Amino acid sequence: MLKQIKRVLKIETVVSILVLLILLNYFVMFISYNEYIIKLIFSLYICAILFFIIYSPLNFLHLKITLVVLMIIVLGNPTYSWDAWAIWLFHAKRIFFEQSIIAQLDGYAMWTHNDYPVIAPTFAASLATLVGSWNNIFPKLAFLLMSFPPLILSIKMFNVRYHFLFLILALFILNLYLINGLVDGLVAIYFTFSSYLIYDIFLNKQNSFYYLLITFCFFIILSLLKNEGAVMVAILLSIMIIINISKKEMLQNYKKIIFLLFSLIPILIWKITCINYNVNNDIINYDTLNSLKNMIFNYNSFKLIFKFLILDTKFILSIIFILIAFNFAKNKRIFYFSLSIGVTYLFSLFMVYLISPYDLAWHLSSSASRVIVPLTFLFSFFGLLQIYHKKIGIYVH
Amino acid sequence: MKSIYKNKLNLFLFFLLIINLIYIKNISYFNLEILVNSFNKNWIPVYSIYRSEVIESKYLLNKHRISKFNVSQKIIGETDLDFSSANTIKATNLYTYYRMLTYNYPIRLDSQSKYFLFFLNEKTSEKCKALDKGKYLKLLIC
Repeated sequence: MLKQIKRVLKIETVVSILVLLILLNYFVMFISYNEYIIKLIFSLYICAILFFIIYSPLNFLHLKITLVVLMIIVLGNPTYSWDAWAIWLFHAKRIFFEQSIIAQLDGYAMWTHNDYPVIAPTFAASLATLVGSWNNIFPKLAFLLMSFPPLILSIKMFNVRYHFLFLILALFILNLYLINGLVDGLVAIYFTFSSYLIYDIFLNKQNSFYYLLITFCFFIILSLLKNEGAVMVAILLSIMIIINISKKEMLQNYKKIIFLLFSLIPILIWKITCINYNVNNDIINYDTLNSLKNMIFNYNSFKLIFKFLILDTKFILSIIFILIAFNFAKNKRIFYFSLSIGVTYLFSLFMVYLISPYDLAWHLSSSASRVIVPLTFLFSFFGLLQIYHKKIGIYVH
Repeated sequence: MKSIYKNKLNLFLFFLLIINLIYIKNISYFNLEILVNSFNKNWIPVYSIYRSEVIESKYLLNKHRISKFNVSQKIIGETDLDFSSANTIKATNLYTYYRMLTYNYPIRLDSQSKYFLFFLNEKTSEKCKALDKGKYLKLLIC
């Protein structure tokens, strides 16, 4: 028993250290670009990962093998995805060469979506700073390294057999998104694990300080990954408040809620900085309401969005999976929780496509398969969690 | 730990996990040459960039130590694109221009620069003087 508690605490400590280092790296860069501090932070991050891999090497061997093999695959792959080289790695390259986190706000190459948050490019630029040079391949590794904290935390959520299943599911759904230099895989992982942590803290009454701290850090990272991430955090915070109001636990949990609400501050600072530099978002801007008015009554738009978003093969499979899991486990608490998050996010995706200034068919064909991945992963994860909780006999009603 | 892998079902799941990793490796463009050169700053990313003009542009600009450059209208392609029209988007090929801009950074594209990159077969003004030429591009001072 004592051994088990120690093991759990070790994992929580490693995960907390890793996420805090990711955030520290971002905030240090935001204040000023100090090469030595950045090198130190990134070295510590690598040391923490090495500690996890080397300490009791046979423990969680399957996860360690997966992470190492994925690192090798990342380093052996070209950077060919448009958004990878044109947005994420270009922003990282700009931060690295200009030695400034706001390098992209100078109006150069506006088509690279300069308003996008930069926590992932910052981490890639830090890796390049540590290496001391830039090329097109290795900075992608930083994106994979950023996914380690939640993946390591997943050990705590399942037993060994179910953890195998979780990893198989994650690799099946995310596959190339983990290695091609896009951040959509990262968004999916952080979104799903943030949702799980909210579920655990507010519905499972998990009272660990570590959990609250990790949730707070995950929220900040998720909101700073992509604009979708900020929407996801807003959804999770809203659902968290709704749950507490409906359960009349607002007073009991107000400290936790206020603490988690503070996680929105970094993304707000970034957005305010963008406004100050006159860098606007291409979709949400002053014309948003006009676009919405024109599109909202257009039946064909809805049909097209439905076709691209809902009829995605893996997404349909994940819905079937969560329904089968619910039928088997009858875990209403997990099912309704994941469904409420999923439906709200889906609604927000519909809204974004309705206000899109671009040709809708082109916009959907170039992005729908990517933005639906977090939902696919979320439903699959909570489907598996339902089965696991049934298996180990966690209370269901 | 050993007992975990003694269980046949766990062993089967472990096997499935490995298959999944091999599958990812196979559907990606994994290449040993890229892996070997992944940290080599002088390595030319021939597998990442599929237009040789882009790679050549960096070679020409570096050779002449140019920090700001300009490109011909033919390289830029269509300007003021209307992204609300699918037909325009399909007909446009901005890859060369955009990739040149990102790949050459920190060498910046500047409309005020006198150093111009043209396609080799492009007609140029008589006011421009050729500095260098490669297989696909020529560098001029205008």
